[in-house]
Amino acid sequence: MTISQPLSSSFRDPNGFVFEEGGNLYRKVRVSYSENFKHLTQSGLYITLVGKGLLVPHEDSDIEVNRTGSTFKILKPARVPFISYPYEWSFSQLKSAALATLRLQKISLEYGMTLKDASAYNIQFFGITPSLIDTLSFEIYEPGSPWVAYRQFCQHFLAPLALMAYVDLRLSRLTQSHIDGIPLDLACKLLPKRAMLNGNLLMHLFLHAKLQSKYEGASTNDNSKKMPKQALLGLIDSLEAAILSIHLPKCQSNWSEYYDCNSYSVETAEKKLSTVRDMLLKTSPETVFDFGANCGRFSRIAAELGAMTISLDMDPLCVQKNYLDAANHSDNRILPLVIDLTAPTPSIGWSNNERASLIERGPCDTGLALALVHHLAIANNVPFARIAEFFSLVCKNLIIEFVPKSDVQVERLLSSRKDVFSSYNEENFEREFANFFEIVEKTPLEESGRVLYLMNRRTK
Amino acid sequence: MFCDRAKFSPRVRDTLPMALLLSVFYIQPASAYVDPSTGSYMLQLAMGFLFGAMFTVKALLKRLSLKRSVRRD
Repeated sequence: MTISQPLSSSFRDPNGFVFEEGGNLYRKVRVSYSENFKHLTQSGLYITLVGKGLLVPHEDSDIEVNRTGSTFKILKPARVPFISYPYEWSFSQLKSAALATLRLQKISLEYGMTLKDASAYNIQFFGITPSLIDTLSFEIYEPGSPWVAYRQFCQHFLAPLALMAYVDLRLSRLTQSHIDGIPLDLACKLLPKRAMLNGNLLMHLFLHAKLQSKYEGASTNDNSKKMPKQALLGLIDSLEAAILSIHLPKCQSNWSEYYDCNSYSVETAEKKLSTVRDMLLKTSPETVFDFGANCGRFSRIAAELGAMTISLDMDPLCVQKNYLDAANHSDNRILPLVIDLTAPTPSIGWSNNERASLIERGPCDTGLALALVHHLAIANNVPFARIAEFFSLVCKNLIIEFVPKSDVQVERLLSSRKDVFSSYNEENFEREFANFFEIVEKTPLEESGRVLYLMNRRTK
Repeated sequence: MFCDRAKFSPRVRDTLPMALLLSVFYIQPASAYVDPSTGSYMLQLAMGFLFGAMFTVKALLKRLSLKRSVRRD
């Protein structure tokens, strides 16, 4: 059998690539990387990093494929539960990923290796824990050489974190349009002057951007200049101090306090919790997408039942709160992500398929869409048919809550606009969803007028 | 090259860091088609002395505090 095509995201490194075969993931390591690979494994660095949870483990594979002369090894790396991207992470997730990258670099230097790249895409979350997935990112440290990934680290981590903290949390989305990180000159233009009062940002962003423009077009052929290892370690320390010095200002969104001020009575809220739990048990999912998860109350139920739960919300503050809660409880079954359902993550990058869209990363076993449909249908004018079609693309089972027009939250949505939603009623909701799903169960939430549905996707 | 401190006169050596810091107020846009790694390389070399000194001081302080805690025990 010949080796399958590399994954669409695995083409930049000439030392190897990742491919999929029989539902398993493999990494081909080329002969050109053999010295580095031997050093990685024989020096003890690999074991140390895997032991600390900083590197995804792998095993040698004896898969029967046509190993050409260029093949040194075929590895079978542990599979990441759900691939996520930096533009979907909250502030604290990006910060954790940045600190993990610096720790990786520091430990690598102790073992005579260095990271040759510092791409945020090489970090993936196992729940709340960030780990490096690219085993080929290490190379033998050459004494006197500076950190080749310094610029990439600043663009992928430091600049977006500074922009989120000093300007606006939503600026993390800039990393979606700048796939190799935010250009430093752009970051410096957007940052307020007071960011320069932070000495680390002054050096690693402002001065860095200045030197980039000063030396653009110049070559670095002069090898006489060396950077002692102490200086390199000092650089990593300084970057670590820079990342640790960036904090979010205290702020509150419309949604982060939703659970404390919604339209449910205590009884209805409890009934909703128990009904959702029962419905989840009936579908016994391995993966759950919680759409419009807010701070993750229902995601936690799914996680408690053992499902890997992707907790999606458009509000970065809710996602931040959700991640910190999960981190405080060491809950590795929840992955909170910033995703706006009205414009879910598209596939981007080279050939438009380097980074997968949300739909391509599905479907999950069960989707939760609680207290969400009115926001999509009324606040965003998405017809029921379109909502049902979207959910049928991303989940096999669906637990969805219908919110009637008589509900306070819907009245609030309609208070400032003309009601042009004559077809927004339970009957039409059921009819449109029935085209894509079979309605298995329907539970009214007593006096609220809201109804919970359990649906199974129709096979086409 | 400004990173090679030994080659500068004392006057230039004293004013260069301040000039560099002041110059950050006038950031020019970098052309996207040019690999901007050279600037990153130069910055690391230029600040290498500072990074190294910081690291050494930190390591010394760590060692001192360790010695103190051992003596107390």
